[in-house]
Amino acid sequence: MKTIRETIQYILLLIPPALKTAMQDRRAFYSLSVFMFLQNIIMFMSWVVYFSNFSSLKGWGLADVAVMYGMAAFSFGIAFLFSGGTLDMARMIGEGQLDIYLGRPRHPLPGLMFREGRAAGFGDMITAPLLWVVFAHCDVWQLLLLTLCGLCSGLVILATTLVINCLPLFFSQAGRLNDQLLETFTIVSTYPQNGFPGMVKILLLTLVPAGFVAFVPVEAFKTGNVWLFLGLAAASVMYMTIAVMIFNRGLWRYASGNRMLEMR
Amino acid sequence: MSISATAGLAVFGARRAAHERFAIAVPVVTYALLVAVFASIFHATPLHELPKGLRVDAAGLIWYLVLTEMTTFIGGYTFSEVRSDVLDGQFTASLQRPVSYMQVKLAEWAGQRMVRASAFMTAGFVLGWLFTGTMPFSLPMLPFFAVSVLLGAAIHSTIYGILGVFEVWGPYARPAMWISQKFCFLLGGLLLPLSLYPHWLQAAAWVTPYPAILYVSGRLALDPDGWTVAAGFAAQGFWLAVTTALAFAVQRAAARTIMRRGF
Repeated sequence: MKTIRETIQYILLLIPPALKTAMQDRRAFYSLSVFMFLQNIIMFMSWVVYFSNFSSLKGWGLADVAVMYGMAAFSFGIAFLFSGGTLDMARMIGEGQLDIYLGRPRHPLPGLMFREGRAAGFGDMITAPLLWVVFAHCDVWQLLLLTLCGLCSGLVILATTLVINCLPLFFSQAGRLNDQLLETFTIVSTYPQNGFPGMVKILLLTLVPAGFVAFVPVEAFKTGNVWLFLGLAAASVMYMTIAVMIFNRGLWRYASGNRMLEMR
Repeated sequence: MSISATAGLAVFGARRAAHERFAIAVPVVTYALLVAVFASIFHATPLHELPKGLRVDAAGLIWYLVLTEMTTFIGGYTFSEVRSDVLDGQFTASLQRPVSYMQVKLAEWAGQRMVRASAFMTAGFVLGWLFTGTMPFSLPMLPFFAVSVLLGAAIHSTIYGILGVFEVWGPYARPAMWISQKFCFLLGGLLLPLSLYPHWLQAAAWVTPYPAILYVSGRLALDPDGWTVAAGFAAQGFWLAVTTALAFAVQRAAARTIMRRGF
């Protein structure tokens, strides 16, 4: 328990510098945020067009899709605004740059993940409240609830991204597979999953946990089912634990890039 | 640049694309996944709610999406290439060469698109048949589909190339690409045919090149008559000429900026 507390304290110390890296170039930060926000809204308009023609999609209306789309935007945004380093880990592993982090007294993972922030994440995050308020007509308490769900989903996204970016530790030929896998995960996470067949839903709640980014939060919010909320929270902790275990296992296989001199 | 040099560059582009099999195979998997996702969405869509004049069935919509997504995947790879060339100085280095950067790239991309098209068209027709059990067009119509998809992809890759050059002026290329991509998805009718859009949005869409990229080829799956094909080709030809001219204009502007700035 003490180790977990210390790790959380360490991560909290790493977040402000990560944010500073994201905001280092103010012009880039604001332009990336604004354009990310705009692209999310433009993409969502496709769903507005869809629901101007059809009343529902297997029980989901525009409000539900707005909750889902906002949830995906918020979770991806919060995950990478603070932990943009996770997206780059596969490249760092490939180039042997883990050495710099392995030489530090703390576990290398928090340092690697919270190495930098991604400005576009802020644009993603601010999309969510707009969609939730304008299209799903959420009140303050519902916004708070969705934000909590978003934090859990963000953790699932981070865990998945971490596992995907650990691939070069196990397969030297992983190449650009991590980018493609993450893109696939993002695609599946941002479309309504209630129309999927049962087997696919099971897959999305186990091996490819995109269901915890879109499907479970929306269903929990729609039905007010406490067990679904608890399940989401438990899944986020479980997936992050598994991801850390996979990273630790992969570290044993890591061959140094002989970059110890760059350690600082 | 002579025709033989252009053809040589196109062959070079085709060979390069054929060599980078992984860069095609993985997007094909993503393409298949997207078609699967939307097949389930369209099968769950209450299509009977559409007004009589606009009625389409799930199979028609799936085939429409197969074609629009196919065009996106065939053409949408040039942005990163150009942006990387700008960032690592290849674009600047190309200014010393006798042939312009854009001429070389347009020729190479034409070759690359042929290889990508063969992979995505094969996958697309298998997927379309798999998810619908139908084929919305006859065999003689196939070449028209292929040409329409290729023209749409050509406009798409030219626009992405233009957006990649924007990196010369600062970190604007990626945001510009995001916006253009999403406008392409919305105004091009990636997921739903433009005929299902409100009239004002249809009118707005038709003043942009995006319907020529996606809707024109997608519509052939819903309404494959001679007039649709001819009108579609005219729109695609027009926008291909406009975007190609724009690509050269943007390249000249970028070159002037580099010359003035010195890097």
